Amino acid sequence: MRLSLHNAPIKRKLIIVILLTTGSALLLLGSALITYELLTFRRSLATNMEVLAQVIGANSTGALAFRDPKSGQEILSALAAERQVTKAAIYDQHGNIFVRYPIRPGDLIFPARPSADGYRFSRSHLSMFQPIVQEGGRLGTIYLQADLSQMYWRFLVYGLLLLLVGIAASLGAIALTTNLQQRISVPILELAKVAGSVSEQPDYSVRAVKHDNDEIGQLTDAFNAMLARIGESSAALAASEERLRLALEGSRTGSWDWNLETNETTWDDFMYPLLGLTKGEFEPSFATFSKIVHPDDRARVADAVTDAIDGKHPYDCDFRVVDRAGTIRHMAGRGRVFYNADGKPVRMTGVNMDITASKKNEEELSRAKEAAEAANKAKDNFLAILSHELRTPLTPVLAAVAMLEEDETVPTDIQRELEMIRRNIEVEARLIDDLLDVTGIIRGKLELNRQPVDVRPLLEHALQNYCGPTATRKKLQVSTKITATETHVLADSSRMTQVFWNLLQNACKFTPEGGKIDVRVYNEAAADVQEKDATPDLVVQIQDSGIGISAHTMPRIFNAFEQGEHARSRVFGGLGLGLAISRAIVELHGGRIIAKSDGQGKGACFEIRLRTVEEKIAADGATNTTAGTAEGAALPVCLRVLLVEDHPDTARQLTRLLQRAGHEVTWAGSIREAHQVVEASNGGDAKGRFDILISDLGLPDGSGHDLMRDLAAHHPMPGIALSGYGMKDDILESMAAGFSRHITKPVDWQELKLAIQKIAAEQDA
Amino acid sequence: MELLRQLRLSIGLTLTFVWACAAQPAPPGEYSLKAVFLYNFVRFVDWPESAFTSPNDPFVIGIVGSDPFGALLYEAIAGETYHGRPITVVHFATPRDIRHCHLLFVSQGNRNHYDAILEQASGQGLLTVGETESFLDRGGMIALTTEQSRVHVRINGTALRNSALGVSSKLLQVAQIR
Repeated sequence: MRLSLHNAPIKRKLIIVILLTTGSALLLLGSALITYELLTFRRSLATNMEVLAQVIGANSTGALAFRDPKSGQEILSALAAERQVTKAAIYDQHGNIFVRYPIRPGDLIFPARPSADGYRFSRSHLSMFQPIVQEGGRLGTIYLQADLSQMYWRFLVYGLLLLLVGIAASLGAIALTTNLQQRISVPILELAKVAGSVSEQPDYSVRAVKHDNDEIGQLTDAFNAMLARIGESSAALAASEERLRLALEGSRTGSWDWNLETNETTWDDFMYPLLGLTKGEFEPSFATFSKIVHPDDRARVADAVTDAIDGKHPYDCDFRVVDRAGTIRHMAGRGRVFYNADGKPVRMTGVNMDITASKKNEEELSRAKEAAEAANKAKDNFLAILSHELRTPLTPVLAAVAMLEEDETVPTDIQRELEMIRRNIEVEARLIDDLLDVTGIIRGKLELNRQPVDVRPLLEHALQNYCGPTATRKKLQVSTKITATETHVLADSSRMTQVFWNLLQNACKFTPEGGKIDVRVYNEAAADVQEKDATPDLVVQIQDSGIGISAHTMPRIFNAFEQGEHARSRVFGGLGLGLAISRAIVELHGGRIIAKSDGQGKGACFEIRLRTVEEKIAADGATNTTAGTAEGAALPVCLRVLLVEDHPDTARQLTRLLQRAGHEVTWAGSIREAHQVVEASNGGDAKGRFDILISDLGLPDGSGHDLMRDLAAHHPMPGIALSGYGMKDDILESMAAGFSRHITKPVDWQELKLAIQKIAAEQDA
Repeated sequence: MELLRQLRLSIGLTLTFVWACAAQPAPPGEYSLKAVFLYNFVRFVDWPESAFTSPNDPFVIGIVGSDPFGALLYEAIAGETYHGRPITVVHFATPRDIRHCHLLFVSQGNRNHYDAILEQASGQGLLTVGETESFLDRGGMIALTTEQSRVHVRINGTALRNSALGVSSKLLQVAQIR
């Protein structure tokens, strides 16, 4: 009952409440009435009977006193009017029945003798005995018996009445409830209907109709207000979600949420297509997610998640996923772990971004960069090989010219021609050397042999040899002002000479006839060093009154292959590599080179700044060098030379030069030939053996290094390597193979001559 | 149920009958009844105060001539009073001997002397009770006649109305008035 009432509609509840109220009220009232009636009825009945008995008794005294049953009978027969009385009797003084009522009692039984006076109730009757008194004397007893069925009948009537009232009340309750339902249930049902429709289909614009201004009306108002609020926030939320959706969709991003306590995982709708999955066919969890991660990335992702949960660092992991079709996509996972108050990780949430496109771009860029680098390297190699191949033919020409110049039989006018040829070849060789230098700088292979050296003689030598002739021809006024006292620097003298040569040549080239070139050398305290006993800087300035440098050209003046204006290169010739090489060399020396100009036509000034070293150290280094050279020059030698060179012209020229110097030369064009020659010579006595090997490294059937190593095993002899490559690695490789010297082509005859002398001296020692 | 009740009733009836036959005392004799009636007249008749000389005056029942009651009357009035006055019995041998009394019983033996007796008793607050119709004819007030062994009360209404006595209607109810 209680349970069913809980779930019963309000209408039924109202009916039950009203029925219960009226029913209990009726029941109470009925019980009260019946109880009261029961009590009062009994008493009034007893009183009535008493009165009746007294009246009859009083009336019957005469009959009793004078033994007149007939009269007594008449008196008793008056009881017929009183229906309740079923029996009556009068007993005489002696307790014998005098008269009875009804007259013909049938099977009615009367008490044979009167009982004690008073009345008593049985279940169905009231019995009463009363004395009959006349003038204080008792004449007899009257007996009356009343039937109680009337009382019961009355109660029955009451009961029926109650029932009728109850039914009427129930009908009234139902009618009332219907009316109440109109006022209570209907608005509530409407409210419930609206609420139901809202929860089924989230349309927050609907409103419940307000009927009365009672509590339900207030509830309706509150409900409508709540709907309005929900509608507003829902619209705001929808807009926000839409923005987020568009953002996520646009960025190909999906979000996920992982409850670490229940292991429940929620994915938004974007995650599925992102991972090549269909929502509904895939149950998201970390385990199922792991399965679609690329096998090579699984452990990494698991580690990243574990580290994130351990709080080491936020989750940030790029990985690949493989969908059913086998397509690989790149993902970027980012996430955060949330902890409860006890520091226990409870939740992890984050996003997955599809970064396949950017990964592809990255890879393409990387490939393009590699390709570009490879191309650049190929270009550098090409330049290196090209310059080498261009330089090689110059060697024999120079050798031939040198030989002819030393030939005293050559007439003077031809000597002048020969000088012109040599000078031009030297210029070309210089250009090619520059090219080689630049490629070396680009490839980071420019090596310096730094020693303490006095800059002054280097500069003077450069002025004399490179600037002198041009200045004379163009009638340039060259002034030199050297105020520096500290002029020693730690430098590669040949490279430093190259720098001065470049700068002076530029000054001569770009200064018109009759112009002026000022060279200043001075010391200046090092600006950027705080040490007390720091050595001062040496500054070399070369100022000209030439064409100058325009402001917009200035920033690019030291770049390779760039000459002030493009047009200028046609007027002045050259490759525009001089300044680039100069800067590289100066910077490799730890110095700085800058250019200044007031503008086009206003001359230019180049300034080199180098750190000086103490003179004493410089002096020691210089002595050794000169001593060696002097010693080597003093010794005359005559050696048996094995020359291995595949280039016939070069071989011929070198052979001639070596023979001129008094050496005996045997030429071999390849390693195989060299071995044959050595084996052939080995057969004879010690006199026939070679004293020295001069070998090109790039031979048709192998490397000069291999030849040197083979010979060292069976026929040891000192060797000089000739190579187009002069980098440090090349030199070290030659030394490792057993060569005593490594000479870079084009072969400087003087250098070769000195090297041979030095080796001969070492052999003798 | 009904059967049971009838059975019980018939048993009850039988028992009552048996008991009634065994325990009912013998009907009192004629004079025993008349003695009781005499006393009963005391109850149903009011005497004027003038009939008594003093508050302590007893109520006097006079019997003239022969006394048919013997001890019966004494038994009937034993312990009884009239409004607090004791009841005494006085015998008068002859009508002349009749003196002050309140109720005068005139037995049948006096049937030839009714006139003398009634003359002697008239004018006084006195209830005269006889035993014959002729007693009433002569001016007596009440007669206790016996017919078929039943005692009847007969009243001479004129005589009673002329007396100073108040007679209860209950008595009149049971009496035959002429």
